[in-house]
Amino acid sequence: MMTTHSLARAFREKVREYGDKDAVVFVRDPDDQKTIESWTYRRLDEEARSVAAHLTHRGLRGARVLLLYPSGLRFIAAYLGCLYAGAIAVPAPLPVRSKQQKWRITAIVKDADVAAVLAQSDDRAVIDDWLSSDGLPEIMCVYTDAPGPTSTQEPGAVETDASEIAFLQYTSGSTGDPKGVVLTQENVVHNVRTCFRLSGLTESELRVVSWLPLYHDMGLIGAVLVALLNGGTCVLLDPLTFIRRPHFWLRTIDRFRGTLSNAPNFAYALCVDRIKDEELARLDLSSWWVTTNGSDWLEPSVMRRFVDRFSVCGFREEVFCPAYGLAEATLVVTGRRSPALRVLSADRHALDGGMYKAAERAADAKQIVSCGPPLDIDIDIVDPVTSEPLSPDHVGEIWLRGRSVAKGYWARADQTRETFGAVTAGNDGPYLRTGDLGFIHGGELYVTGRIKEVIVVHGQKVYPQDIEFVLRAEIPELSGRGAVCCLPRVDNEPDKVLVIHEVKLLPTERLKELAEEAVHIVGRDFGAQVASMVFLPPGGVQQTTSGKTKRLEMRDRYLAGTLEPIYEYTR
Amino acid sequence: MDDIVAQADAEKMRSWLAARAAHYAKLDPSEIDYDTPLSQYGLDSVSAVSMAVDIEDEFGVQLDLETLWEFRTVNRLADVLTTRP
Repeated sequence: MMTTHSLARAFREKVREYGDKDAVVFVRDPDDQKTIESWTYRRLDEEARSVAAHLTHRGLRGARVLLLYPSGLRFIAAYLGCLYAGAIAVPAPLPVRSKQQKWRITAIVKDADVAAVLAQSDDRAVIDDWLSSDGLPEIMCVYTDAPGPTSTQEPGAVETDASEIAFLQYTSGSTGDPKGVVLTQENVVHNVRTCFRLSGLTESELRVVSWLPLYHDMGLIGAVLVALLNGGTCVLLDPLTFIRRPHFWLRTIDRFRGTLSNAPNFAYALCVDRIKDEELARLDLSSWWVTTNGSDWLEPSVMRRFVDRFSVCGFREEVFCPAYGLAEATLVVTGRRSPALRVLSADRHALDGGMYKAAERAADAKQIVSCGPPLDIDIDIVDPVTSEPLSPDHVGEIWLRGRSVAKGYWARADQTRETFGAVTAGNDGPYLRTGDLGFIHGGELYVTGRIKEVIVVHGQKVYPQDIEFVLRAEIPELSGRGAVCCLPRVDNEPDKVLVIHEVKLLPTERLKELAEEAVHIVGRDFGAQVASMVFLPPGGVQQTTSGKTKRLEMRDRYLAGTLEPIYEYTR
Repeated sequence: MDDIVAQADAEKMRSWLAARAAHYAKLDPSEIDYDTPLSQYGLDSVSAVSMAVDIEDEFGVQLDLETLWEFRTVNRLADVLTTRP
């Protein structure tokens, strides 16, 4: 019988065991010692206690507390401080860039009924600007690097039940309709244990390197918590440091003899494309033991290019651990590290018909990489229309149940029932419906697509409603209804966006300008590429009787060529 | 004389910018029109950062992303870069 400790207690055990060991390290430039800052387990514990004292002093036990930090040590202390004080942390990105980002954070504040914001005093101006522009001046702000009340209570003395909420992970839902995944203590402890087992490393070998955003499950759970609950060291970089200088990621692994470092698929491609020969010449990646590739489409060709490019640095194919997971199941669901990538050559036509069949001709073949077997979780592949369970090799929706499956969405009973309370035709359940499509072959999961109207950009989900909303806000001429969709995927290409929008009658020259502007806005605010832009006359975008936009129907009509656009732009 | 040198520099900068944009868009530099916003060639948020870093390395000018998105064409970017101290 496995016991489930609370996260706070599990971390405190490691503080006792590893007090003087480095717990977290933050790196700006791996070749410049002056830019590297580190805290031992003991120091991190002290910092977390100080945050907890702030929270306890203000009576925030049980309250939702928004964490608005850049990547770094203060975020980790704030997160642990919430666990110590029994407050419910809500990690979110600093709203620095666009109006869209501010709206999103404000929507989260309202949805989670946030009582206080934790931040560091360097960001006071950014936070004040957001609070005043979005009309939230009454919210309490606590700057956790400022001296506060001293702690009298022993942390972890607050009793925590395994079913108690550990934190809220906001990754689901559009800006107007954010959904916070409610993760219990048990969910997180269980999934962290699963991740650690998947790595195949021992505690003393666990040196994690990560540039993933800390408000994202793959950064917070897959890197920080996996390290801290298992006595490892977690070396962090800011996400922008990686995007700016991809070789800093690999250089940091080299310098800290990193063993575990995960990333979404696009990151490997960026390394291959951007790291120069002279940078490569001095890299030693032989310490790297496991890299879980998840949260993006997995491209076997990208992983092979990465192996080809970096094998001279000691990188081995067996380091790749393709995985499948989602926030609604805490983080990881399936995964496997194996001597070579397991790739199926599937017949495209059979796949379209809902079956896996080995391709006989190269022209019909689609390469699909195995995401490995289920990790301490039940997977069923289910027909999304009839809810009938399907046998191996049949493509259907991925349904899950187990201890990593979250409790639901915060304060959303209907959507929770719909997503977390699914029942098969044989009345078996409840299951989590993932909205992703795949099949099981040889006991392993192969992901083939998705049902949900969501676009994946650099490993993060973008919702069509948000793109439609921003386009309408920025371009007044787009007066009517819009239908933004994801185009069918092409191998080795990122998701491409199709924008269909109603527009007033305007001269063609003006429509061309509007199309250019729309493409620009989607790239700037969402990081996504628009492949086609179609303008329809008012009333051209179909909706259901209840007023929902029929995005997928509009996409199918576009692909079938049955739309009658007044202007069309294609890249 | 200085004007001619400046003009030659500006022209060099334009073709350099077009070459970098073409690299990220996986196009031939001749396909980049100097007055068309680079976003039209499929430059996304990650390639915009890469361009900013390239500009920093080449010209020693730190461009923030807002500037890059605002001065969106080769010609407008070259103007910004040549007029900045």
